Amino acid sequence: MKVSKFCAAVAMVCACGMFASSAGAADAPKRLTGGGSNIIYVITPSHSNPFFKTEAEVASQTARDLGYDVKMVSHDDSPVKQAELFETAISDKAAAIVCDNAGADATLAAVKRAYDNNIPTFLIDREINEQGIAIAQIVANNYQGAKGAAEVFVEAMEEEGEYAELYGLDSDTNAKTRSTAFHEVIDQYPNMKRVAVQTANWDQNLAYSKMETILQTNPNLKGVISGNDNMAVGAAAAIKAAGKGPLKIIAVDGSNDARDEILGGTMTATAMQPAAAIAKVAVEQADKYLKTGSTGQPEKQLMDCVIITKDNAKKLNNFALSE
Amino acid sequence: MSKRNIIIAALAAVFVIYAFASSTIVKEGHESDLTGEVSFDPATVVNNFWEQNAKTYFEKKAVDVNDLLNTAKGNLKSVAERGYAPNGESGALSFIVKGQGTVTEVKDKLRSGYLLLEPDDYKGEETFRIQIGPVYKGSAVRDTIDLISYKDYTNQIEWAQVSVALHEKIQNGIITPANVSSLLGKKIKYIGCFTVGSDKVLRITPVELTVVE
Repeated sequence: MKVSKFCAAVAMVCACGMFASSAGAADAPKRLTGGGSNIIYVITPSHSNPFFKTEAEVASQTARDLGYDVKMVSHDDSPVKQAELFETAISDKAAAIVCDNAGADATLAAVKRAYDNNIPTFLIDREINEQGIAIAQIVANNYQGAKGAAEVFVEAMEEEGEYAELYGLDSDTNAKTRSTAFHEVIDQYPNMKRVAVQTANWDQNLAYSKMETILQTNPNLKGVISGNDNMAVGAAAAIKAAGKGPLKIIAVDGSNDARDEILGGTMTATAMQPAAAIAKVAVEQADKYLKTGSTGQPEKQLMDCVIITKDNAKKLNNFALSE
Repeated sequence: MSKRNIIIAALAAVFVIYAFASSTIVKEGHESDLTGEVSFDPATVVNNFWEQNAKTYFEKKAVDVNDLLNTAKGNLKSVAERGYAPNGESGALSFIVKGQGTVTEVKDKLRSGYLLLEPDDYKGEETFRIQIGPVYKGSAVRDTIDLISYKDYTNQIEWAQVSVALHEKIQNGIITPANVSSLLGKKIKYIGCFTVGSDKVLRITPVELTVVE
């Protein structure tokens, strides 16, 4: 009798516990209403890169047009600084945070902090390795863009020859995504040989000096694949300074500098990320979310890149293509 | 309630609380967070689709390519409702089509090989290329399958691997058995997918390919 009573009691408590936990799990995502102020934080990498400058400015302008106050700050690709900026946003009772983040894993804690403080985060340009803590992750289809640029590269190289790779900042998920996409295409051509790979941290000057060294040790170099336009422009300058004829260079971003190189014949192609459109859409979705509790879109949203070659480069201006 | 029953209930509660406290609850699909073991396997995703759904899916959704192009009159965006734009209006537009034609050239020496096709009963200015790999341009096949979606993947690399796995499946299951180098001058029937590009070339990745004569 005692045993059966004990069992019955255990079963009942278990049932209650399970009901409580399953009810918790079935909850709809929590609606975040903002910290209470009218400030939207726009947090991006350094504005020395025109890509980040454009997205920060477009996001800020869109937010102001929608009636928000804006604080535009840079984490300089430091997860520590990014965490501090998120804390500042939390103490400022930000309505929302729009962020181009400093690392797919390193950012999780910061976004979670904002979430726990009722502040919705809208990620642009770079995705993070988790869903359910940011309201939106709106990113350019880096893979599709880099793959398209690599297809142009292989054709320009006539499917053979030595090439070098300039790799972006290791902590940036897009560096890996773009490189993987380049190689999905190029590695299938047995006569394409990568003779050098260097990290140049997205930086033009660093790419210039790395390229100087690569050229010295690889006199037969025929092409360069670069994670972004800044590094490609640096590489093109180094090639010119070394007195070499233009090599085949491809990159990803779609900056005005790259456009000018393509028109001048010193670069082959780039993939334009719709940076301006992404920043604008993110702020509009933040506004809609704050007002209605929903963006009307899935959390993860991709926007395709456009391949820029000498045929359409003239139409490119500030990360947007005129019709 | 008797004293004895209260003690039994309390003991039971302590027992259950202990059981919960000493265990870790792992959400379904998040086991890898705990074990560090990554279970994502694009080949399985693609195999499952290919074996269970592919044939019916593509046959049911394919639209007649001549009809599509005649209706579009050079502007495929005008018939977007018959296609697939997984990344929304700003994204690329893809179609599933079926058609028939004669192979006029076999470009099987290129890594991104293709069959040049003279389509039956169509006189438009588009060039028809049936991709035969082993390098496939674009990701039209993946992008026309609305049963798989980017939002279900951790990142773009995983998402891209689905397309790579589909192309492998096509290479081994469609292209190799078709013995493409022998197809010059033959009439073929196909179902395939293409993404609208900036030029007048239809780069069709076949999902079915049969020799008619």
